[in-house]
Amino acid sequence: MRDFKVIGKRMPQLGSLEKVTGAALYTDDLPFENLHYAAILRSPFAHARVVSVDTQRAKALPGVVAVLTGSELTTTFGVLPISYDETALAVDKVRHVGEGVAAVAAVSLHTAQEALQLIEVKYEPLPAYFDPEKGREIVESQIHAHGKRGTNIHKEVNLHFGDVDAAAQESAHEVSGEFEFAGVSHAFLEPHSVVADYSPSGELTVWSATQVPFYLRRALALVLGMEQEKVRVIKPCLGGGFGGKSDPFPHEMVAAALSRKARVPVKITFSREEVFISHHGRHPSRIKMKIGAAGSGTFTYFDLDVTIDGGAFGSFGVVTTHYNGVLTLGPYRVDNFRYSGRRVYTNQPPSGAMRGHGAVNTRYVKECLIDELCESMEVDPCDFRLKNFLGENTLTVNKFRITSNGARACIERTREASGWDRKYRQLPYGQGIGVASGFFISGSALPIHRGDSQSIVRTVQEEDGRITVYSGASDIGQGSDTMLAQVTAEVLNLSLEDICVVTADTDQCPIDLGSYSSRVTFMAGNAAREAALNLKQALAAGEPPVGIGEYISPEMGGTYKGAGAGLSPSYSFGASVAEVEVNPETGQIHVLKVWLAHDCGLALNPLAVEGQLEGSVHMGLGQFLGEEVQFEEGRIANASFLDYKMVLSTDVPEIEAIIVESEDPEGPFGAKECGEGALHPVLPAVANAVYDAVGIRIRKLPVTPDSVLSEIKRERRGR
Amino acid sequence: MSLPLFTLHQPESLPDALRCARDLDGSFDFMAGGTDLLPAYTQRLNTRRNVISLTGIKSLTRLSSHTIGACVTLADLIRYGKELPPVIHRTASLIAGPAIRESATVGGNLLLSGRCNYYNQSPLYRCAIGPCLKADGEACLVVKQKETCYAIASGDLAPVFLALGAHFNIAGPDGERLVNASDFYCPNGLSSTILGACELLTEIVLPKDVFDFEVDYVKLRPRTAVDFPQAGVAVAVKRNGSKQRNGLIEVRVALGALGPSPVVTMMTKDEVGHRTPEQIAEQVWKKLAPRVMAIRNGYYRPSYRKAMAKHYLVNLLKKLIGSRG
Repeated sequence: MRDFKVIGKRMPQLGSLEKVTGAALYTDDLPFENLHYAAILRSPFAHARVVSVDTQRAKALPGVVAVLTGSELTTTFGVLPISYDETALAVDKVRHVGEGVAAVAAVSLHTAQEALQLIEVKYEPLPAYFDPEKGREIVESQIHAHGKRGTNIHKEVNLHFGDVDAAAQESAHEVSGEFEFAGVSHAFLEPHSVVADYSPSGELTVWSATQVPFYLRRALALVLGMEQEKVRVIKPCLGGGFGGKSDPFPHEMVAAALSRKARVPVKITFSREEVFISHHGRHPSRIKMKIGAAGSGTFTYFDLDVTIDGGAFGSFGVVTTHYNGVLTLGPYRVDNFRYSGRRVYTNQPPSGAMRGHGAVNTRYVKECLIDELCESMEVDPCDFRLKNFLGENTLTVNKFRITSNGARACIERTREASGWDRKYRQLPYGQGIGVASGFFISGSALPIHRGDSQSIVRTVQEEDGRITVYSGASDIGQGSDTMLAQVTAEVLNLSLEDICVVTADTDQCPIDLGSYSSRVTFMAGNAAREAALNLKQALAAGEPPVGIGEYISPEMGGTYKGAGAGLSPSYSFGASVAEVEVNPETGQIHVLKVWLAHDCGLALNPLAVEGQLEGSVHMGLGQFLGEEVQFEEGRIANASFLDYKMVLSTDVPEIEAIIVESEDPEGPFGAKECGEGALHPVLPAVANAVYDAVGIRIRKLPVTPDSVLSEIKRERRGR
Repeated sequence: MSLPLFTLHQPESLPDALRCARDLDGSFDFMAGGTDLLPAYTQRLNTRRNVISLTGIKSLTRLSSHTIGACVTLADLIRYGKELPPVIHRTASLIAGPAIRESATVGGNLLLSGRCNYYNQSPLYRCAIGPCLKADGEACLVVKQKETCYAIASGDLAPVFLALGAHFNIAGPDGERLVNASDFYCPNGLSSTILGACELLTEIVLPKDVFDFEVDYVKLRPRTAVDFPQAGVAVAVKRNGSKQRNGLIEVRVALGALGPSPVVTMMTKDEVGHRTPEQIAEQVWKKLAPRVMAIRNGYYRPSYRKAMAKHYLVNLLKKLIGSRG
C-alpha cells in the first residue's frame, strides 16, 4: 500500500468533541428570535375523502399565527421525478393513518397542539387496502389514479437474461422458497426537525435534518412556486439518517408555507410517532426465489419474484423495485436470471429507502437458499461461494461493470478468523455457525435528475494560508466531512487541522446530490481530490487560489429498459460469519459473535469503517431478531422506542470487523463504500447459523422465539 | 406531544401530602419518579389537573434490612439495599435501564399502571381504533365486555414481594394500615389495588423470617434490558435446615405479567412431600392457572407467555430445591 500521511489513519470524526459534550447544535437546538412552533393534524382514517376542513376556531385561538390546509398547497412532489405523488397536506383525500390534513403555527407548541383540537375535519371513509397481494387485483377505489390497470400497482419490473427455463431443465440441483419480511424503521435518534424562515425580501431559508439539501431545495421551490435561487437549505448537525431523511418531506413544505404566511420563523420537530409515520422505512416484502446449480457446483440460474408494499406514496419505490432484482446478482456469476418485481400501494405510511436499499431482503433470501443448496449438494458453503464468485474486471449478465472485487478475500478472512473449518456442522446441538456474502453499489451512476452534476467541490486557500473545502455533501453522522478533510489534506500534504470544511449549505456550497446510495466517499471524495489537485496546480502557477473538482460517472451499462438501475462506478463486497446459541426449550436465539469482512476498496479512515461495520451488525441483528413496524389496518401499533424492538447495547454480541482493501481503480485513493453493503450478509449469516444449531430455516422476519420454538418442535416431530 | 397543563404540588411531609390530596377532591395523581405517569400524561391517558409530587417527603425514602420506603429509587435500592434479601436488588436491576432506575421508585413499580397494546398508545392511534375501557371507552378492545380491564400488571417487584410474604403499609385520611401483599392487588386493570382515592403506599415491610427463604425471580422479555416483563416468576423456598428435598417446609410461587394482577400461591410441607421439582411445578400451575388471565394484549402470544412461565417455574424450582432425594 502507498505511504499516506493522513489517509488510512484512524481518526475521530471532526466535531466529535462537540457531539459528546452536547455542544453540537442539531436543528431543534438552533436559536432563533421570535421562533414559532407548528403542529400537524393527522388523519385517523387510512383511506377517506376529505369532505371539509373547518379551521375558523383554530384561527381564532390566541397565539395562533397561521393555519394551513392541503388546498392551499396542491403541487405534488417527491424524490423521484417519476413519482411526484405526495402533497404537503392531504388534498381531497387521505391515504394513510397519520397523513397530515392541516397545520397550525403558534407562539408555543402547546398552543399549536391545542389549536389542532379546534379544527373540524369531515371525512368520508373509502375502502382501505392493506394487503399488497389484494392490491394487484382491480380495486374498487384506487389509492392513486395512476395505479396500473385499475389496480394499486405502482411499479412493475420484468427482466430476463439468458434462458431460465432451459437452465432449470439442465440443473442438477434446485432449491426454492417463499419468504416474508416485515417493514422496519431506520430508528435514528434525532427525529426529523425543520426550521423555515421566509424573509421580508421573499427569500426562504430552511434548516432541516435532511440527507439531501439540494433535492429539498428543488422540492421547496416547486411546491411553493419559488425560484430555486430564492431558496436556501442548510443541514445542521444531524443525528442519523440511514435513508429516513433522504426524501423531501411534507413537514418541510408545511413549515416553509407557514413561515411564508405568518412571516415568522417556524419550527416543526417530530414526535417519535411522527417519525414512524413519516420515515419511509424498508418495504415489507414477500419474496419467492428459485436457484439452480449444475453437478459441477456452479450456479445455473436465479429466478426471483418480489412483491413490495409501497404504502401510500412513491418515494424511492421505483428504484427499490429495480434494486430488489438486480442487486441480488452479485457477487456471483450466473448466466440466466429472471426477475418479476412489483411495488403495490397500500393505505399504510409510505415505504422508501433504507440502509442497504432494496436489496437486504432479497439478499437474505438468496444467501439462505444458497445454504440450502449447499446442504443438498453436500458441499461447504464457503467453498461453494469461492467457486461461484465473479472475478475482477468483468460484467454481470445484466451488464454491471465489476472492477475491484474483494469477495474472495472477505470469505477467506471470515472463514479463518471464525474457525469455520473446525465448527461448521461440528458444533453440538443448540450451537451453530453460518456464513453469507454481500454486494452493493458504491453510488448510483446516474443522477436522479438528468443533467445534474453528481458532486462538485470547491477548495480555496484563504488569506491566512488555511484551506476551506466547500461541498454540498451531507454529513449525517457517517463522517463525510472528515473524509473531505482527509482527502484534501493528503493531496496538499497538510494536516487535518489546516483544513476547514463547509458543507451542506445550498447557497455556499456547490452541488452534491446527497447522502444516499452510498455515494459520498466515492463521488464527493473524488471531486475533493480533484479540487485539491487543481488548487495545487493553481498555486504552483501563481493563479487565483481556487481549485474546482467534479465527479461524473463514466458511461456504462446495458441498453435494456431499466438498465440504469443498480449501475454503479464500483461495487462493494462482503462476507459475514455468525455463531449462535439457540435454546431449544425457549426458542430464544443468542448471537455469540459476528465476524464481518467488507471490501471498502481502501479504508480512508479505518476507525470510521469499523464503526460502519459494527453498526451494520447492530442493524442486521435488529431486523432479524425483533425490529418490525407493526401495522394494524393501517395504524402503527408500536411507534415508540419502547415497543419497536431495536437490539440494545446489552444484546450486541462480540463483533470482529475485518477490513478488506481491493484498491478500486476509480475510487478516491482506491476507496469505495462501506455504509450499506456491510449490512447485507449479516442477517442471512445468522439465519444459516440457526439452521446449523437446531435444523430450522427462518423464512419470516423478524423471527420470534415463539416461532422458533414451534419450528423446533415441528422439526423434531419430522425426524 | 408536550405534557398537558397541570398544577404541581410538592408537599414535604406525609400529612401535608394527604391534606393536599383531600383538598383536591379526587382530581389528582400522586407521582413519585414520574417514569410511568408522565409518559401516560404525554399520551393524554387519564390525565388529571393536579399532580402531587412525593419526592420531597424524606420519610418515604427510608431503607433498612426489613423495610423499604415506597419512594426509594430503584437505583438506590440497588446501591444501598445490600442488607435486604439479594433477590430484591437483583430484580430491581432487571427493571428498565440505568437512567430510568435513577428516577423510578419501588412504590412506582408496585403501582405501575397496567400495560396493554391498545391502551399505551398515542391519541392518534386511539382516535383511529376507538377508546378502550381503561381510557374513557365503554368496552375492552380485546375481550369484548365492559367490566374487566386486562391491562398487564407489569411490575417486576410485585411477584417478588408476594413470594417473600411482604406486607404493604398504607397511609390515608383515616390513618395507617398494614396489609398483606397478597391482599393488595385486584384482578382488574380499572382498579388494580385496594388503595382508596386519597391513600398512599408508604412502605414495604418484610417478614421476620424473610432470610430463611431462598428466593429467585426470572422474567420473560424480548430484550435483556428496558422491556417490561411478558411473564415474571418468583419462587421462594424455606427449609428446615436440611439440604435434602424432604427438608422443605414451604414453597411460595408468584407470577407477574400474566394478567391484570400478580398471583401467588403457597405449598405446605405436606403438599411438597417427596415430589420432584417438575411435580411441584405441575401442582403449583394447577393452583395458579385459573387465576392467570393472559390475553392477546402483550408482545408475545398468551400461549408462549404461559409456556415460558411454566418453563421458568420448573427451572427455578430445580435450582432452588435441587434434584436431590
